[in-house]
Amino acid sequence: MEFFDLFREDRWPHMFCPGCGIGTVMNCFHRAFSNVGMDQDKTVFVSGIGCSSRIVGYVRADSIHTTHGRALAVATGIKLANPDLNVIVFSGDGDIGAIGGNHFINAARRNVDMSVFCINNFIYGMTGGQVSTTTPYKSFSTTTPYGNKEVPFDLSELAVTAGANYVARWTVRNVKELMASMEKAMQKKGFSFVEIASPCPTSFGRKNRMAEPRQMFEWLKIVSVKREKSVAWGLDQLDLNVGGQISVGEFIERNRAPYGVIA
Amino acid sequence: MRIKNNPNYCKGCNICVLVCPMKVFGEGEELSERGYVPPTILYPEKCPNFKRKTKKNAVCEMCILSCPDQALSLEEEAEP
Amino acid sequence: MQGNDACVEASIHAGARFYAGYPITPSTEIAEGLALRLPEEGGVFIQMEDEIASMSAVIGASWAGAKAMTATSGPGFSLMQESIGYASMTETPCVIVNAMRGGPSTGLPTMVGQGDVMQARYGSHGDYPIIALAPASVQDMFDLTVRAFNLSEKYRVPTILLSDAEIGHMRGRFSVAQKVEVYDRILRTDRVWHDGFAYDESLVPKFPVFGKGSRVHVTGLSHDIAGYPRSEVEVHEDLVRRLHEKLAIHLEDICKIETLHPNSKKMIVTYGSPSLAAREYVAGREGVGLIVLKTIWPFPEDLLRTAIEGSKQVMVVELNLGQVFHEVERVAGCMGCTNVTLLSKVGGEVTAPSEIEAAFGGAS
Repeated sequence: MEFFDLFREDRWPHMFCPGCGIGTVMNCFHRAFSNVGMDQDKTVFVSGIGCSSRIVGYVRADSIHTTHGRALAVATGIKLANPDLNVIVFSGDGDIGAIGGNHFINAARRNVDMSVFCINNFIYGMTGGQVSTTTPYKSFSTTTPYGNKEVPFDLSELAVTAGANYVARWTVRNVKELMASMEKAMQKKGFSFVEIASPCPTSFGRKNRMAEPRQMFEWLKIVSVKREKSVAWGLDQLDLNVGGQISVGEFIERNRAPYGVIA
Repeated sequence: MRIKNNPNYCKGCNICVLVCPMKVFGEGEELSERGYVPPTILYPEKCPNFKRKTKKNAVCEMCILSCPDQALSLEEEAEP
Repeated sequence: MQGNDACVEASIHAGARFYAGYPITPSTEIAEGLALRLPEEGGVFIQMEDEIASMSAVIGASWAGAKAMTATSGPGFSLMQESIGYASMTETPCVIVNAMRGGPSTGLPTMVGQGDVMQARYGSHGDYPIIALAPASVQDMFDLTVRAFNLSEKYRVPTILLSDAEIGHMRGRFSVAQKVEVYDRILRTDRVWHDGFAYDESLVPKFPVFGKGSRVHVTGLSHDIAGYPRSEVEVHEDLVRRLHEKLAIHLEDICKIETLHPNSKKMIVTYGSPSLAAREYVAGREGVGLIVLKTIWPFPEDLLRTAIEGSKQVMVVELNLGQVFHEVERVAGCMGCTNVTLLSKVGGEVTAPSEIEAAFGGAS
C-alpha cells in the first residue's frame, strides 16, 4: 500500500519539527504495516499525550488520542472488549515511562496482545523541553538547567522484566532493523514493545548543543551499540549515562501466554 | 527513476544529505515558499535507482525512509 | 439482596458486558458480583491496577462497542476525574457508580456520606456536561442503574450513579419488570471521512464504533465534526456549547424527581439514604411534603420549581455541609421563597426522623 493509503494526506504537511524522528518512524511503520498485511479496518491506534502520540491522528484508521499516560489502559479496554481488533499503541518516553509507568508495567505483566511503539526522544518535547525519565544523566533541559541529577530508566529492560513477549530497541538510524522489529511486534501474540530512540532537535538538541537535526541523527549513531556487544562488555543494564552508550537490538523474544489465553 | 523532493513538505532538515550513502544530496541555498532551505539534488545519477525503471524494483531507499517529512520520492520516467 | 447486588443484576439486564474497576469500600460488592456474573453472560471483567486505569479501560471498551461501567467511592472518584472529563468531551457512553462514603480524604470508609455531589458535577476541569442519578432504595439501585445505562447510551455522556454506603449495603427486595427497557447507542458504520462527529437536531452524533471501517479519530483536544484537533475560537465555542445543549434540550427525559404532597407549606428536599428518614417523618403528617431527587445533575430546576410553588419553607436534608442546598436555595430564591434551611449531618450516620422533627422546631 502507498504511504497515503495508510496516512491522512489531507493533514499533510504534518506538524512535526524539522528533523524530528517521528516522521522517520512513520515511514518505517508504513512499510512494516504493509508487509504484515493487517486489516486496516480492524486495527485501532491508541496514544496518550505528547509529540509521538500525535501519530495516531495522522493514521487513516480508527484511532483514539487519550489522556496523558493512560494509552495502555485504554488499549487494554479496547482489546478485551473486542479481541478481534488489532491494537497498536504509539506513545512517548514520558507517556510510558513517567506518568504511565504503572499502566506500562501492568500491561506488560498481563501480556495483553498489543504492539507498543515507544518513541523515546529523551525529553518532553511537546511542552517545550522539560526533563523526562529517560533524559541522560547530566543532560540539560528547561527544568534541569544545571544538568539532570537523575539517572534514566531503561524502558526496554523494564518491559522485559515486567513480562513482555517481544522487546526491541532501535534508533532512527536503524531503519531496516526497525521495520523488521515492527513487523515482528505486530505479528507476535502478546505484549510487544519496540522502543525507538529518536531525535528532538528543537528541545533536547538545542539544550545539549545539537541544535541542527543532522547533529542529533549523528549522535544517535555514535552512542548506539549493538546489544550483543554491550552484553559482552557487561553493559547490558546500562544506559546513556554510563559511557554514553545505549544498546540497540532485540532484548527478548518469548511465548508467554497472552492475557485471556490459557497456556 | 529520479529522486524528487517535494518543497511543500520539505522542512530543510538535511537528514537526506547525511544518510545518503552515495552523497546525492547537498545543502541547499534558496529559501522555499514555506521559509525553509530544501537540499539540492547534486548528483541524481549517483543514486542506485537512477538506472531502475519502476518503484517496485527500487533499491536503497535510505533517504525516502529517513525523510521525516515524506518529502522525497522516486519519479518513474514517463513512457515515451 | 444488597443494593450493590441489585446494581450488579441491573447492569447485566441493561446490557453491560465490560467492567474494569478497583476495589474500594463500599462499592467492592459490585466488582465482586460482576466478576462472577459477567463471564456467565459472555462479558469481560478485569480488575485494573488503579482507578485511573479502570476508567481509561472503560472508555476503551466503550469505543470498542461494549456497554462499560466501573464502580468506586470518594478517593477513587477523585482519581477518575480526568478520564470522566475525557469521556464527556469525546461523548463516550459509560456508567460510573460512586458509592459515597464519609469524607474528605480517606474519611470513613465503611460509613455513609454525601459529600461528592458537587464533585459529580464539577470534579473534572473545564465546562463539560454530566448526568448524575441518585438511587434512594434497593429498587432504585436496580431501576436507576438500568436508567443510567440508557441515558448514557442515548445522550453519549458519562452517567454517574451517586449511591451511598447505606443504599449500597442495605438489604431489601426489588422487582424486575418482565421486559426491562434497554436503550442502545445508535451506531454509524460508514466511513466517516470528515464527519465522524456530525450531528442532527438531537445534537447527539451517531456512534462510529471501532472495527467497522469508520476510521474515526477520537481526541480529548478540541475538535471539529471530523474529530480532527482544532484550536480555532469558533470551533471550540461550537463544540463546548453543543455538548451542553445536547443535555439541555432533553431535560424532560433526563430529570426525574419523586414527590409526596407537593406544594405543602413545608417541603423537604433530599436524595439517597436520608430520604428513608424523610419518608418516615412525612408519613401521616399534615402540612409537610417531600421531594426525593432521582436526578441530581442536570439539576431538575423546573420540576423543583413546580413542586415548591406556594411553599413557605423548604428544608434540604443531606449528609454534607450543604451541596444540593445551594442549588435549592438558588431555585427557591428566584421564586421569592427565601426560607430555605439545611439539615446537615456529616458524622457518618444517616439522619433520623427525630432530627428532622427537631429541625422543624419540634412541632408537627
